[in-house]
Amino acid sequence: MKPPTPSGDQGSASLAKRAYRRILKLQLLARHLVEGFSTGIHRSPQKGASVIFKQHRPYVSGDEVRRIDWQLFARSDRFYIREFEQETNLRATLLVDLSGSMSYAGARALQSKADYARSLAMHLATLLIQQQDSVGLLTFDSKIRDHLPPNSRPNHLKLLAHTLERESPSGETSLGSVLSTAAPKLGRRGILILLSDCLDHLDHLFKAFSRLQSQQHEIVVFHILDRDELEFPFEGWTRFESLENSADHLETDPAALKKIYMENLAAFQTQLSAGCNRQKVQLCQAVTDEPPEVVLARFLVRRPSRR
Amino acid sequence: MTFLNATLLAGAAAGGIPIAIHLLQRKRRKVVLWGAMQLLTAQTHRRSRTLQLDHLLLLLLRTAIPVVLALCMAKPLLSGLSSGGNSSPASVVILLDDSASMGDGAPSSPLGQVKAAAKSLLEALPRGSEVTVIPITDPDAPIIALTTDLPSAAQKITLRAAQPAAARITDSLDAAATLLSRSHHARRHLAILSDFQASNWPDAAAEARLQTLQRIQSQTIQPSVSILQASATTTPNTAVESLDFSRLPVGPNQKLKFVATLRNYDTNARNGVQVVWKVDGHTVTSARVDIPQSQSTQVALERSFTEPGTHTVQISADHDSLPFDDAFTSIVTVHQPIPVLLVNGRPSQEALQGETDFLEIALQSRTSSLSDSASFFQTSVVEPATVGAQLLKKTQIVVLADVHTLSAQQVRDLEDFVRAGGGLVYLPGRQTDQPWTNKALHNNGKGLLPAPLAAFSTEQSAGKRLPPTVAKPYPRHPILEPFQQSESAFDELRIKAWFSIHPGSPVGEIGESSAAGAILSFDSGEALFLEHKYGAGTVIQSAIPCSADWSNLPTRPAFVPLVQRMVSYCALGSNPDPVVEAGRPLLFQLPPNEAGKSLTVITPLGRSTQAHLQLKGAKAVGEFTSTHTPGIYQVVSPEGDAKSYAVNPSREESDLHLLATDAVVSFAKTCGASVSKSPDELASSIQGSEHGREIWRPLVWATLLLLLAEMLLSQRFSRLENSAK
Repeated sequence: MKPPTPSGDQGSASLAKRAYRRILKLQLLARHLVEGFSTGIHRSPQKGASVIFKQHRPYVSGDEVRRIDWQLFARSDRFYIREFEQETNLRATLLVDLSGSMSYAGARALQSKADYARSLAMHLATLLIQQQDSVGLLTFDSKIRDHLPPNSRPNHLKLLAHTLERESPSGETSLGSVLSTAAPKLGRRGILILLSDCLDHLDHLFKAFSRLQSQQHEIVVFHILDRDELEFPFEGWTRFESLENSADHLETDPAALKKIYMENLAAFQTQLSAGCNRQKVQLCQAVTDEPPEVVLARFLVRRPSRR
Repeated sequence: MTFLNATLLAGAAAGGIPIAIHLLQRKRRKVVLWGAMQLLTAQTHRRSRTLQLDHLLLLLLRTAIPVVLALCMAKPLLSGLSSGGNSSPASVVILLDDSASMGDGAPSSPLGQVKAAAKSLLEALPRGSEVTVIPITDPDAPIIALTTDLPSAAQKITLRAAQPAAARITDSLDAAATLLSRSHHARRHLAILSDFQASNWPDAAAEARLQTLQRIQSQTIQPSVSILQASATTTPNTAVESLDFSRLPVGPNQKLKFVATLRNYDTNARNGVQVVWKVDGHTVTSARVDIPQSQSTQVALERSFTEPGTHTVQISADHDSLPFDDAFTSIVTVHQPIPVLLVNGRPSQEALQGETDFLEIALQSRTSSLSDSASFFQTSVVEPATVGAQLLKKTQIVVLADVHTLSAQQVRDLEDFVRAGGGLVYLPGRQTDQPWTNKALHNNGKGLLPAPLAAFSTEQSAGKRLPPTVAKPYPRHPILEPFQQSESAFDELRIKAWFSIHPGSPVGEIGESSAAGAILSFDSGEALFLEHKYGAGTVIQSAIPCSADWSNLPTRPAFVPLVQRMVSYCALGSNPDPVVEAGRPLLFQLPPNEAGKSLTVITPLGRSTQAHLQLKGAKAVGEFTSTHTPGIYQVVSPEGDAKSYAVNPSREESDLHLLATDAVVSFAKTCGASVSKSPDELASSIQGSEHGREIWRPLVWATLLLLLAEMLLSQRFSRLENSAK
């Protein structure tokens, strides 16, 4: 199966193909344990009927009588329940930020932040569907633009790619309210993968995380930034015009403001990192001058085992 | 507010440079469509606003610096403020009368008085003042060009002696007006120090003086004017006013009559004044003459010269209180015999029937009842067909007598000949082709002849018109000098046929010809003889021939001297006068092949100077301007030929009568001047003059402060940017 690419051009296809091959080697499947409905290759923490025995436990009131191990009762004269490992598939939803700020592409960037998020999203979707997990998609700016419920069918990838491709970044960001609004649509517990620059009020974002976590969702954040946003390398009299709000602009000598900007950036990153740690949200930094597969590999390697 | 150097205000335009750079950079500013506006917080906005204000301040400073500097250099003057007393420096122009009438420079002489006044004025000037001293005799060559070295200026004034030249009042005032308008200080003063000799202030020049004074008074910063009239006692003076003789060329052994005019400016008669004649430096005769009070008398000398070349003739009278005008020197140039080419258009085998027969006789005549002069013409008679460049090279004068036509090449050769300084006498006749003559020789005023041949008239064809008679009085012309007294030389002239030629025919200043002037005219207004200049040469056109067919002129007594003088006059060409007034340039004129060479001029003091010859028209010309010393100047050509030139002091200074006090006061009123009677009074007159205060000093400080502020602000920006990085 070939990995689809959002842009569809030859260069991007080749890149995605190489990334796909590399990622396959990482044996993602052996490392992670998530729960899912359908029988997949992820081991589920939920125990149920299966062919793989896990353990016995004493019978408690309410247990199904058919699950009592009668052979053991004959030997020990006590009721034990046989438990089996049940293999489930992953229910993942990709939350892709397509607000105006995501359209920024610095001189050193491989692509804009939005395109970078699309690439990452398609790589993740391909991987997950390859291993028969369900993948959904939700694109947004200050409101939800598109929502595709999770599905594990291989041809779902095409729909995902088409949905990602037809949306271009614009409008303002409102991460907190969008995620809060989207929470009811995201259904039962699963994994939510947010791909965004997170340039919004972080307090609102963390509140939305809390609500989603209360729905038993695991949250992973790919924080996508451009190298320019990290280093602020501008010189000479410059007019900064907001990509999200045309009325918002600043005309200044950027060299004179660099110090303040870097302090602001450091504070922002610290706040984001601390909030994610506190709420057990996995935060993965992505810079658009790195190939997306490198970022993905780093994410998979560092992703803690849930066994 | 006025500006002393208003032109420097243009430098304020440099203030636009920082603005232009700012606008250019603003146009070049980068625009970044930025996503992380959240990180450009209110703090950065505040900082940015501060930066913008700082940049604006820096821009204002950088704009202000050149503007204030230009204002400072333009030297603004606030007329409403006091000049700051007498300590502020002044610009002073002194017109110092150093004319011949000012005496020998002794302390009591007028020159001594004005020199003392000038020095006392310099001593009264505050430090930093600038002064220019203009000699009234030569305002173009200041004794002291603009200087602030007052002691040195005083020294130069002390050394100044009276010049043998006349005062040039109007020119001096004009030079002073120009210098005052270029002065650098707000306090400006003009001091006129003179004896106010009446002859230097003629009424005829009053209008010109008034206009010059108005130039001074209308200046933006009007200078104060003070006058000091040196006191002088009028002493008796007798001057050799002039030395006249015929300016026509003379040949060896030809008698010349010199007439000297002596004038007595005293109110008492001067008797027994000894007069000495010197020729080439040797005394030839002396006499004693009586000169009536306030009148002139003449003494004469007849002399001939054996050798060709230049000869000096000097007459001197007894020395008196003004010695410079007691002698007068002239130069006589004795020529080699003049070759004259007579082109006979109608030769005849019979005696006196040819067109040039009478002419030839007249030019070869060795005596003349009017001039008693020896002939020095070498005549040769040729037919028209032989006229050409080769033949013209050997002659100095050409006479065209009744020539029918000439070829185009012959006409061109003749034009070149006259243009180079040759003389041409044109005589019409029976064979004259009138249309050809007008077309080829007059050529609408561009040709050789001064006027076209108009109607041909005879006694019969004139009808009721009377035969033409010569108009009286005869014009004052060198050719007619012998006939001026009798006024009857042409009374019996009877003309039977003639061509009408008109003076002032539509010739104008066309090409290289000058307007036609009549030498002698008929009562009808038509000309008998016309002349004009063609290049460096002279052309005389006659209305009648010199044959007995058309008139009885050849048989009149006036014919011989008339023809001789006419031909001599043509030979005179346009050679510059070898006698000039002191201060006027000596002019030299040589053949064109001498251009590029230099003449050696030896002054009366024995100094040698080179005068370069340049090609101008068909002549090589040069001049020598340093003629302030009267006497004989020897001019030696590169081939070693020496000629003498004479420089005589101006006679305008001879009349020592002064302007009346009322006239001086009236002049002072005209120019708003104060009249000082002593050097101290003159010195104090300048101290009271105020015109306003210059404010360039505060502006210099302002410029320095702005520069300091700009430097500090730039450094602050630099520090802030470094710390930001």
